[in-house]
Amino acid sequence: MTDIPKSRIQADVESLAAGKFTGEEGGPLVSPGKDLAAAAMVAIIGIAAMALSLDLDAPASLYTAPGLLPFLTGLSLLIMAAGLAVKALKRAHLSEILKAAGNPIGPFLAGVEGRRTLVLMGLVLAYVVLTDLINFEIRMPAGFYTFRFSSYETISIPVIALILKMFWRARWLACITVAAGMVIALAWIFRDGFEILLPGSG
Amino acid sequence: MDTVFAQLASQLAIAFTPWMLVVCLAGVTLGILWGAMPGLSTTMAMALLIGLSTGMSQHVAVMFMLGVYTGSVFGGAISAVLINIPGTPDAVPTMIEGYPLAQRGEGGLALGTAIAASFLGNWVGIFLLIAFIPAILFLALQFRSWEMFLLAMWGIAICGSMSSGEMPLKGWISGWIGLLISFVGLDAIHGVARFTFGFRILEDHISYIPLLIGLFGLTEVLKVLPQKNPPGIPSKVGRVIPPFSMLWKYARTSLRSGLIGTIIGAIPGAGANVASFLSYDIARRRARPEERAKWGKGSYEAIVSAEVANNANIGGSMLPTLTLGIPGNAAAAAILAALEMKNIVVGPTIQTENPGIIYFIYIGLIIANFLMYFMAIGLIKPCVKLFSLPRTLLMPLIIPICMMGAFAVSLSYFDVYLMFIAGIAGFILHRFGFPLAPMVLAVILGPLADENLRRALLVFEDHSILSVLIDRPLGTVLLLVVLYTFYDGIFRRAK
Repeated sequence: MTDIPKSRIQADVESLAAGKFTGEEGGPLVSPGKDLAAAAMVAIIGIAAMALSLDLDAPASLYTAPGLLPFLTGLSLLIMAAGLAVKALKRAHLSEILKAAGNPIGPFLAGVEGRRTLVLMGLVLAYVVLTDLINFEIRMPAGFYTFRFSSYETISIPVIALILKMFWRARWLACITVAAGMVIALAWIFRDGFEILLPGSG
Repeated sequence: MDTVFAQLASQLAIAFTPWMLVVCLAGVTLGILWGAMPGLSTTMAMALLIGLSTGMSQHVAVMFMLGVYTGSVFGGAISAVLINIPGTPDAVPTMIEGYPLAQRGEGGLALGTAIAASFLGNWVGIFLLIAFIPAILFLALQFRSWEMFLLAMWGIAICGSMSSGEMPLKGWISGWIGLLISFVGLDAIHGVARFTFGFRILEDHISYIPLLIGLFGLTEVLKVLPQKNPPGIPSKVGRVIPPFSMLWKYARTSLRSGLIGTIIGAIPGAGANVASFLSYDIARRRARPEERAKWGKGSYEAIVSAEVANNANIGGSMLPTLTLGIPGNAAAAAILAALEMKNIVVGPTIQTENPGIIYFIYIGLIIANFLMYFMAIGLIKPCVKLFSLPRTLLMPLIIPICMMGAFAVSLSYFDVYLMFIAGIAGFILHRFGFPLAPMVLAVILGPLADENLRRALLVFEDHSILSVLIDRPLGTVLLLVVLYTFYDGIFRRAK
């Protein structure tokens, strides 16, 4: 269920050698179990879209009803979900898929890459929430130039330094220096160079 | 005709100011360096830089984005040849052929060939763009509601097919989910709130720009950063002299690849990857036996075929973007976003609503191509130094850019959360094998499809289906094209 996908480059090299068309976003086929799970999810989305569309008012005729295309989209998604499920079941028997599925989240969490991804998601979420909640800007006029330091830099520098420490694995000083240099440079380009308001700048 | 010359002259005067050239140079340089870094794709560069372009004036923003686009498509070839890791996915064929050459000490010549081929490819794309825009604009002006609806649906359907290769169904599902996202908000005809769940902020629709940044910026970070990647070992570059004589030797391949690249670029969803892969494959089949024997072991003809095609793709992708408002690929969607943020209405009326902007885009592409040629030669050695930087150092630095970009669009924190959700959703969709470009394209085209379908149905209220098919031949042709796209995806591709 949580097979690690082949790298994009590897899959592309193989498809080129075989003269096969893998599409603009390429990549190999995922397991039938994943396709079946995706089909179930898509079917739920389709049904929900149809139900919500039927609830919408139709002020004039049916032809201009606001829910018309959303309903048709939901219906098409339901049909596509059925198609995806059929394709998955053609590749493997349902009992095999269920047997292979077992605990769908466990193997992802058991792998180092999976855990690192989850931690990264958590850190990015914390970063987004913190910059939303904390807002301030300090201005320090110094002759012809006003130095500005906002909550954006205050939050970004430690968070990016922490992410660098986790993944780059350099010394703390190096991580903090890189994070500070990058964030301050970016803030300067956006705020002073292009006069774009930064998140958390009040 | 006088108006055309007057518009062209005024756009030339704007484009050839020193500041504009500096902006284009900055865009090309940034694009080449970005494209050269493994893991940083053209689309990612374009998506992230939309935010920066909000602070620029109309022409500056367009010039900057065109520079980045042109530079980053070429940039992928540098790391492909020198460290055997393609900077962008479309450089995989260049990697297969260029790295063996670099190991034999011909890295400089391989890169020189790639630079010259890219330069030529851009020219083919620009020439065909200029040649075909008037005809497509004329055709597009004949479109009414029914045709516009079908065109939007074809854009989403073909994008789904082209993005996911072996499983077009997944591309369509991605597109259809994008359609549902596009319906969120007040509907354009009656003002009824759809899928807003009582949240006032959703009534204003979901902007596709934070989605684009999340799906192609944050998703890439989540995909790449946790992976352990061995660093590439740069090969010796040697002297880089772009050999036009070699292109002459492969003139037929160059021309064919340029045509393939431009045509593929004009098809929504099919971008530089499909163009370079298809061109490489066709060139291999058509190569002379003695040349074919070199394929996979270091063939200059193969490099020419791939690099001409992926660069010609740029001009091709601008064709539907400018004339129909349908982005040729995800990178072109970012150009579309930058244009729309600067109040440039793309589509059939682009010439009347924004006189001269098309000429400015032609000029911008030509300037960017010349600058790309010279900067590519100059930046190869600095790029080799950049390759020693690990991805684990670069990728975390993308995160604050994603956040700034999403916020800068409308100074709304809702967009930042949207970018984050899109990033997570993009990661999950990728793990389940769904392409992302159809979703973005559908969010862009959804309102167009919805409004035009309902208008068309109202017009056709008293007509029989047969009379509609006969009275609207253009619509009938488009309907057949849409049906064929589905037929091809379901039946032919399955074989």
